[in-house]
Amino acid sequence: MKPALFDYARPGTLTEALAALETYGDEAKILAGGQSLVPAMNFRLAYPAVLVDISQIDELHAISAGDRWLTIGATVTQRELERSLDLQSNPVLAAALPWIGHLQTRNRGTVAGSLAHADPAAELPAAAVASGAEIDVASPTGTRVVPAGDFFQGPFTTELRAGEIVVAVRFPSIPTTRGVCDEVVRRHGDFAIAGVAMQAVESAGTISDVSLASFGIGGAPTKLSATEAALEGQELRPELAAIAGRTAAEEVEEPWSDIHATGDYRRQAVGALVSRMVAGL
Amino acid sequence: MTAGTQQLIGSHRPRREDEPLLTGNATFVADIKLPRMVEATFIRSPVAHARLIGIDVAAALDSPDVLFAGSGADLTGVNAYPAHLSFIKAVNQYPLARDRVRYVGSPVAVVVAPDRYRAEDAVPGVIVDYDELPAITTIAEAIAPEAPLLYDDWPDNKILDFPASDPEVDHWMSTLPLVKETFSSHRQSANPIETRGAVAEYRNGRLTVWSTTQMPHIARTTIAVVLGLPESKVRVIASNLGGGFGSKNYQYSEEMVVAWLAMRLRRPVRWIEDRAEHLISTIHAREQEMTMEAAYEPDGTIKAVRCDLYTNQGSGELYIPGVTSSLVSAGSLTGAYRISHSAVSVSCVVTNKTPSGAYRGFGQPEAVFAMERTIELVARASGVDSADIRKNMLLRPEEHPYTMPSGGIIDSGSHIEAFEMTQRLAAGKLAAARDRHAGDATKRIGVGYAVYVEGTTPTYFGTTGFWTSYDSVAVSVEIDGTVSVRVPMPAIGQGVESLTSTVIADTLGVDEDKIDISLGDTDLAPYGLGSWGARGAVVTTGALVKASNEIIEKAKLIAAGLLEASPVDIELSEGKYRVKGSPDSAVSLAEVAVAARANTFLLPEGVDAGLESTAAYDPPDLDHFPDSRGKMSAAATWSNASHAAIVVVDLPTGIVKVVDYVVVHDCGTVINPTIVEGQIEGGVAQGIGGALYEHVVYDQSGQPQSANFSDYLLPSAVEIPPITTDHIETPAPDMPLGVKGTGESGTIGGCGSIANAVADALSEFGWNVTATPITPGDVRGAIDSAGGPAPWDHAEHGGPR
Amino acid sequence: MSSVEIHLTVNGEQVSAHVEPRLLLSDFLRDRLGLTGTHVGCEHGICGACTVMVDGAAVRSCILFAVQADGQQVTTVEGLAEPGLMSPMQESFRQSHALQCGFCTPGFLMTLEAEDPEDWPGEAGVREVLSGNLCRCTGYQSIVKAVEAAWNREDAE
Repeated sequence: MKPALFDYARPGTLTEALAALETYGDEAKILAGGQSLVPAMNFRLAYPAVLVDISQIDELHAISAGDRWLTIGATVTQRELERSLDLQSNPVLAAALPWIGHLQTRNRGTVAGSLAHADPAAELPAAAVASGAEIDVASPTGTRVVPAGDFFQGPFTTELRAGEIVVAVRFPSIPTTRGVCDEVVRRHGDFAIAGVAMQAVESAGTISDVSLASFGIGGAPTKLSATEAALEGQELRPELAAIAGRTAAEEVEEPWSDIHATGDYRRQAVGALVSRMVAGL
Repeated sequence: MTAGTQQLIGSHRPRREDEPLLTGNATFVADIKLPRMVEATFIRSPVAHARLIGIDVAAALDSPDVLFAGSGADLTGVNAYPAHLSFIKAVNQYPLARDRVRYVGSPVAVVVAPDRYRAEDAVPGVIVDYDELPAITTIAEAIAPEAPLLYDDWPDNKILDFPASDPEVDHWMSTLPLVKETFSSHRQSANPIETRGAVAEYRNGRLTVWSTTQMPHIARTTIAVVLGLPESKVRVIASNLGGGFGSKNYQYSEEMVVAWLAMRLRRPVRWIEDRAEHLISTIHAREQEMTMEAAYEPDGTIKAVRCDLYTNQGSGELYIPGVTSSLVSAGSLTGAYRISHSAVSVSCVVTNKTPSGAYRGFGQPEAVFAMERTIELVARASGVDSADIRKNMLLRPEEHPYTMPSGGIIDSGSHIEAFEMTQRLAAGKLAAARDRHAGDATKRIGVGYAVYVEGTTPTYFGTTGFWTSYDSVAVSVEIDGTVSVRVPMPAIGQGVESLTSTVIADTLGVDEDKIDISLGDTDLAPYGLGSWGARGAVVTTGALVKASNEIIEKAKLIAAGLLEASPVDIELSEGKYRVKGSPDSAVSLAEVAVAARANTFLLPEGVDAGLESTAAYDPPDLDHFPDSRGKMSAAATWSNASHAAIVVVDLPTGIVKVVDYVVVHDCGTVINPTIVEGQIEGGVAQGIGGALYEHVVYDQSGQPQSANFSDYLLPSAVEIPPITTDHIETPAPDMPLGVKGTGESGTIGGCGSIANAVADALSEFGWNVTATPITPGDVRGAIDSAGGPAPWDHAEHGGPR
Repeated sequence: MSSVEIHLTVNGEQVSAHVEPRLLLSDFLRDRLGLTGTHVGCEHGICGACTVMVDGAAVRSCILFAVQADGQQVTTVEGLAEPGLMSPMQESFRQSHALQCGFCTPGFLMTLEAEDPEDWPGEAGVREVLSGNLCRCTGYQSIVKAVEAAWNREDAE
């Protein structure tokens, strides 16, 4: 399983990287961590003619925690973020990170790369959607901001246009919120068969600003809006978990089936996860 | 056996083979690098069943990097694999498919380039024209009346068909109450972490093949036959494998082609299987359906068993044939239970899937799953506790040797003792699991047992043309008294080097650092049949002891001459040959060796120069053919064990976790307890992997659906629990040093004990587990069918049991 | 470009080479440098047999290109101890029979070399740090014991 031939560029600045993308057009792919791309290349399922390695661009490598945002540069690895004290400013993100793969893949895999890859079973896209993260995208003509809710369009499909690079992802700085991420997996570290990322404000036994995103069950991470509505402003009490779980299972649309689980199982699993997460609040 | 008496046998000791492995200095096949070596890659069928219309390599040959591109038609002088077995249908297989492909992954062409990268670049240049045929994948499809045939000259799709009947069985079936159930074992794949591979070099009229084979001499013989070479001109070296578990027993096509290419190109040729290839072209195993009928007495003891056993053999294009695990399944079915009558019909059917063959346990895991679940069904039907049924049926020590209805002879065993020990150990683990989850309404805890015997050191049963089970070693004492041992068996992780060192050190009384051991080299070691069937400890020990004893006898003669004593007065004690009663009158092995090799004038009359022995050990009491009733004693000895699995089931998600596992094991005399425990623990992990995680899946058109490690799920250290092992030693009455062997045992109880544990945990839902693997979806399905609580209704889940 | 010049440090030694960008680090180490202790098990980043350290972090060399390691420090199993010696973890593996066929072993050793025991408390932590390396022979029990012994945790239960 050896990859096909490709040319390799390693720009030192963002400007150079954008220029490289402009030159090569859709023959080029960005290489950051490579933990998803290189396996696909080894199988020759992906065979870009050019790889643009952005890992040495210093300006993309910062983590900074501000009053409004936790800003994570494009080449920050999942492990670097996991170990950063700034991570506590976004609890749902902190909850999602330990579920991702294994330490070896988190050592190379980047936060932004996971979002740009948009694997439907990945945790970070769902955490981004649940938390209302924003993605900063650069192109030769400037930068723009894409809210996470608009960024993910389907399996492995994002709103990124040709020639664009994600330069940072910003998660809201909301250290006092509750953040939970839970999944059904066959083995530790696997991609989720079904998963839910949840963020909420808890005050005096009542929850509000509830945001739930499911993953692993279909295309892009999906907000569970009926479940959010059922939980909004509710007092935490024993029956709430079952109500939330049932609502979540019922609102799941077209969960897919594969060799690991049927759509029906995935639907049930979302209900089980939401119920468990609410019970744990 | 006190001979040299270092008394190393039986002690927990680190292995001598570990340092090179730990420091990255061991040599595996992929590490072999030869000057001018080039690399091959295979073009494999992307369709499950097709006629091969044509293969065009012109585009591939256009590339300056390509040294060779060709298909079966280009392999001049290559013969079909031999067909030794009269009782199976002939497959007439050539190393590369010639006119038909019968599974996705079947090799049809090969390209050679300076390295694997460039070889893969050339693959699209090989154009293969397939005329697709209807594909069948299931046993039911294979035996259906108008089923498409895989082999046009066969009347059906059965490669082996052994119907069985017994009037005694019929009698009990018609007079006693019955349980009847069909148990399905699923398709699995051994997946050693090292894939297959071969490096071949043809130089000065000799062919050398470095291989991952578990049977170096059989590989040599096969290569000679298939390539039409004198066997004396072929050398196979398989010293060090990264695991095998039976998957590397076979003489696969790629190895033959690589050897042929080395002769054709006059350059060393390398092929290292990648994992994508491995998952579809290295054998699968265990896909079997067993319809069991058991006639039982009021006290639950089973009087007779009838079984219709079907194995999905895949395409059957495999040398050596893969059918024997089904026969072992049948032959070991009644286990150590006093069931005097059984009739097991065996049918191996071919389908358009990867060929199926041996995987650790070799049919015994499937049989134990069926039998142990059947006992639970009899318990349910009769109202008698299943533990009591087991204890009533298990053979007592004084009943050995016991002849099973299949003809197998269980020489000795501690079946009841092992089961009772397991129960005691499991009780503590079960209580601990219940404590940990006390108050959690969403969890259910269960324990399940499996009790079985493992036939080891089996006959080769002619699959290779060999109707025997011997093995050999060569032992030589050098002039300085150091010892060279040449063992034909490869290291596959089973500790054969340490076993050899321990036995030689103890028998000859030589320090281990003075013993050199070579493994798996057919130029150095005498003929051996390979590492499989848990036979290594028995046959290698047997041959080592024989060879050592011959050397000791000769050494005594020489020592007698040197000490001017009578040979009957010479004893071997702590490595020295001395006159009994006169400890100062002694010579060392080195002194004997000097006389034997350098100063031969010192030798007594009639004693020739030299101090070495090549010895073969053939286990006694082994049948190589069935008798007229189809019965045979196919294993030389039988180990026994009892397993208990403790599981926690999460009702809302259906996830099953094995949280503790107990094995009480009796493999007779244990040469190195540490190695035995390691073998059991590794086998248990594969059993757990099989029961819950691993599944080779195909779609209806024969397309593999689990052909990467994200889909074929091997368990990690998080999925495998702590494993508690305890030993009993009931020496084998007729085996060298009382050794019975182990190696496969850990897998044998896995699906049985775990299925029983899950059924126990979910007993309130009445789930009769009849199939593996047990997935979260299956568990939720069982709960839903029984009207159990919804996944989100925690309050309804009641308390943990 | 068909060839890139890279400079890196491997087991403490400076290495310079011209490589195709597509050459995987695993193949670079094994075939170009003859360091065959790093083994290849799956080539899609799951089994962990190929684990090495790059700038102190455990990574899967089968899904990393050699060009990506330019300017970095790579450590393989051969670099864990001087020739003829073994590291404390290697010795602990030997004492605990934490290997059988040995093919996956270098990958485990490199993961453990890179990790701080403080990050992996308890037996659960040990099993989790091992979870990115697959073994088919041992059933992991003896590996867990070897790690606990090397991390001085045998008494804690």
